[in-house]
Amino acid sequence: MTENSPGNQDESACSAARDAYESGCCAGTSVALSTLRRGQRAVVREARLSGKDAELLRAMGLHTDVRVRLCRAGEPCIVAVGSIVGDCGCGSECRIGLARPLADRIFVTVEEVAVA
Amino acid sequence: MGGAATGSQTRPPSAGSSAPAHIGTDPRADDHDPALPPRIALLGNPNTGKTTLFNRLCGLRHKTSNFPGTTLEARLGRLRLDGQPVAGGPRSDCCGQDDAAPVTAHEPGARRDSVAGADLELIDLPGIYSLELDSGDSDICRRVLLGEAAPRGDRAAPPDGLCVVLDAASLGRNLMMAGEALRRRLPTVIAVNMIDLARRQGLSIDGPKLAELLGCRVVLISARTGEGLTTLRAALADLRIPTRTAPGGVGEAGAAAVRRWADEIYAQVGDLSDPAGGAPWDALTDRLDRVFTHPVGGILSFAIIMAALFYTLFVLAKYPMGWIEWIFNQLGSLITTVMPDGVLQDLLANGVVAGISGTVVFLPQICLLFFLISLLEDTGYLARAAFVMDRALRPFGLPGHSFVPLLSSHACALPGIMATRAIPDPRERLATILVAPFMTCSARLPVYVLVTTILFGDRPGMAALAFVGCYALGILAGVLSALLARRTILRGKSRPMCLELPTYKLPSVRTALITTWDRGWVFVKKAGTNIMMICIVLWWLGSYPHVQPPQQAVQLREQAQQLREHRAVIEAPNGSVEPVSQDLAASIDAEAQRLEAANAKSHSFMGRAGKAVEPVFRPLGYDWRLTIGVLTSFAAREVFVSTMAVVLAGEDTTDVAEAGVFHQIKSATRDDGVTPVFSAATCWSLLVFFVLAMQCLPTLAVTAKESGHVKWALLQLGWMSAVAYGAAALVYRLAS
Repeated sequence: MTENSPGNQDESACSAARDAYESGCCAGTSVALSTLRRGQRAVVREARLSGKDAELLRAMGLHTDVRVRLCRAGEPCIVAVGSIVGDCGCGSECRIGLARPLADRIFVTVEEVAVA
Repeated sequence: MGGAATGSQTRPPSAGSSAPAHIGTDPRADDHDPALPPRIALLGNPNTGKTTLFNRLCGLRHKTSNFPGTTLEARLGRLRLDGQPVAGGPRSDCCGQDDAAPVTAHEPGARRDSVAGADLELIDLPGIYSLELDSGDSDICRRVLLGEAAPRGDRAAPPDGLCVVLDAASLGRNLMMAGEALRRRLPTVIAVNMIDLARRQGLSIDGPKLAELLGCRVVLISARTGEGLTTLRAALADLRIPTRTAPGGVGEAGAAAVRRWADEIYAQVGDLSDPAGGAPWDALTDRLDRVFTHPVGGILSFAIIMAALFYTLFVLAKYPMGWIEWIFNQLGSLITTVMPDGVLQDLLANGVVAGISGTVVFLPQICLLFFLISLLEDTGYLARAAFVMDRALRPFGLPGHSFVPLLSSHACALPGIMATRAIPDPRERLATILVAPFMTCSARLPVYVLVTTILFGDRPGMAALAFVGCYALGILAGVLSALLARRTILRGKSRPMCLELPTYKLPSVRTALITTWDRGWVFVKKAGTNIMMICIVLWWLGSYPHVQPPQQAVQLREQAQQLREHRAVIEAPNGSVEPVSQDLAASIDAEAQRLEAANAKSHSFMGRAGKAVEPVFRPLGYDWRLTIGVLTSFAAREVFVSTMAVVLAGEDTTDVAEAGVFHQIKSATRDDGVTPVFSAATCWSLLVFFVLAMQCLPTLAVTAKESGHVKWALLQLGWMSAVAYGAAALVYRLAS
C-alpha cells in the first residue's frame, strides 16, 4: 500500500480525530462548516441553530463531536456523517445535504489530514 | 428463555422485567380481540428500506420512496406464516435470545400452533429520525405506538411488537432509533437491512454481538435480495421483550445519552474489514453528487432525465394503447352485431364500452409513468434533485421541504397535501397546500395524452415536449402563486433545507412493478366504478328525451332509399349513362345519421345543459360538447375523455371499429358539420385549462381538512379556476 492510499489516509484521519476527541480539545479553531474544502474532515463542535433545526440535525446524526467529511462545498453543502468511535468514519456514514444558511451556522474543527 | 415458552396472554410486563413475552397466541392487551392477528409495527429511519421490506413480507402494494417523509400514512399488511420454517433452517444471520434453544416446529410445547397457519399484521410507519421530534411523522409514530392512532377504517390499538429496521451502512446513527424503540418495552426484533450494500462498502457487522448488547433478536437482511427474510419471518412470529434497554431522558441530555450508548455499541459491533473497500464507492458518489447538484449541471441533468422519461413513455406506450383500443373496438362491434337494436345495445356500446375505453386506453401510459418514476426514485437521484429544486423554490418563498409534497402531487394531490405535514413552518406549509394541485397529477394525464395526440399525431418528440411543457406550466403557475401568497397573505421567512441523501443503488424492478400494479389497479377500479357510473348517467342524459329526426335528415334518408330501390342512373360528363354507385347512397345515409345523432344530442338533457352554460366557456373556444366535458371533469379530471367519447358517440360516420376512439374524438365536428370540435386553438386552450384548473372535489376536501378551514379550499378553487380561465382564454385568442 502506498503512502497516499485511501486506507492510510483514513487511518491517519481517524487517528487525528480520535486524539482530538479523547483529549477533549480541538486541534484547530472552529470554523463554519460551509468554509471547508471538498474532502476535508472535521469534527462538529457547535450548531447555532433554532430549536427545530437543531433537533432534526441531531436526530439525523449531525450532532456535537461527530466526524464529518465534506463531499460537496457550496449550495447545497453535502457532508458525510460518520461515527467518531467507529473504526473509521467512512465505514458507517450517511450523507446529509444542507442549505447554505444551515452550513454557515454549524461550526467545526478541521482535522489535520485532508483527503484529496 | 427457550423458545418453548408459551405466549403470554396479557400485555407485556413492565420495563425491566426479564420474563419473556411473546406474540403469536394472544399477547394483546385486555381489549384485544382474540380473532385479530398480532400486530407488529415497522419502525425505522427514512431510507432504511422499510417499505421494501414491508412489500417483501406482505406482498401488499405500497408506495416506496427514497425520500424522507413520503410514507406519511401508516399502511397495514398481512404476513402469512404458512409453510415458513420457524427455525431449524440456516440461522447464520439470526442472532438473539433464543439461539441456544431455537424454536422448532416439532418441539413439544413450542409455539408451532401459533405459527403455522397464523397471520401477523404489519403496520408500516413513516420513516422518522426520532420518536421525540416535534414533527408530523414522529407524532403519527408516537400515537400509533400508544394505540391512539390507526390507519383509516382500523381500530386503534397498541402494536403487539416492533420490528426496528436499521440501515447497515449507517448503523451508528440508526442505533439511536433502536435505543428509543427498546425503551418502549415491547417485544422487539431488530432487522439490520441493506447488509449487502454494507458488505460492498467493506463494512462488517457482528450480529451475535449486537443481539447480545441490545438484548433482543437481530437479523441481518437485505430486503432487496431477500437475504435473511426467512429467518426474519420466524423471528417475527416469536418476538420477545428485550432483556436490555437504552438510556433515555428529555432534551439534549437525553439525546446525548442515547447517542453515547449507540456509539459505544457500534464501536463493538461495526468493523471496517476492508478499509479501502468503501473508497471507490465514496469517490463515485461524490462525483455523482457534484454533477446532480451543480447549479447548471444539476438543472441540465434534471431536464434531460425528465425529457428522456416522457419520450420513453410516449414511444413505448403507444403499442399497448393500440392493443387496448383494438380490444374495446372489437367488443363494441360484437355488441352491435350480437345484440338487437335497442336501448340496451346503445347503452352498452355507446355508454359503457365507449366510456370505459376512453379511460382505460390510457392505462399503459399511467403504468409506465409510475414504473419509470419508481425506478428513478429507487436510484437515489430524486433526493439530489430536491436540492436543485430548493435553489429554484426558495426565491418563491417555498422551502426545499416543499419539494417532496410537490413531487408527490405529481402522482396525486391528496398524498402531496398530506405530505406537507413534514413542513415545519405553518405559513410555508399552507402555501404549499394551496399550490400543490397546480402540479400535474395522474388524473390529468389522459387529457394531456388525448390533446397532444390530436395536436401532434405521429410526432412523439413534439408530443413529449408538449407533455413536459404542461408539467412546466403547472410548476410555474404553482411557484408564482406561492410567491404571491408569501408576499401578501402568508408573509414570513423560508426555513433552510436539510435532507438525507440516500445511497445510490440500482433500482429494484420488483418494487417498481409492485408500485405500478398498485397504481394501475387503482386506476382500473376507478374506471370500473366511478367512471362507469358517470358514463351511464351521461349516456342517459345524452340519449333522452327522444326527439324527431330533423327534416333534412329525413329527406336524405328518403333520397338514399330511392337511389337503392330505383337503381337510379346518372349521366357522366362524357355522356355515358352509369348506375349510381352504392357508395353514394351509403354516404347520403351516413350524412343523415350524423345529422340525426347531432340533433338528438343537441336536444337531449345534456345538450340543453351544455348549451345553457356554453356562453361562459365560449371565450375559451369550447362548444357545448366541450363545455359538458369540462363541467363533468370538475368531479374528476380523468372523466373528461370518457365524457367526450360518450358525448361524441354516433356523430362520426366512420366505422368506429376500424378507426377507434381517438379518431372518433379527433374527427368530431361542431353543429355546422365542418369546424372540428378539437381545433388546434381549442386544443391548446383545453390543455392550458386542464393544467391550471382545480377540478378535484377530494382535493378540496383534503385542503380544507389539512389547512384547518374551508376558506382556504374556497380560495384555492377560486384562484385556480380564475387563473385557468384567464390563461386558456388568452391562449385561445393567441392561437386562433
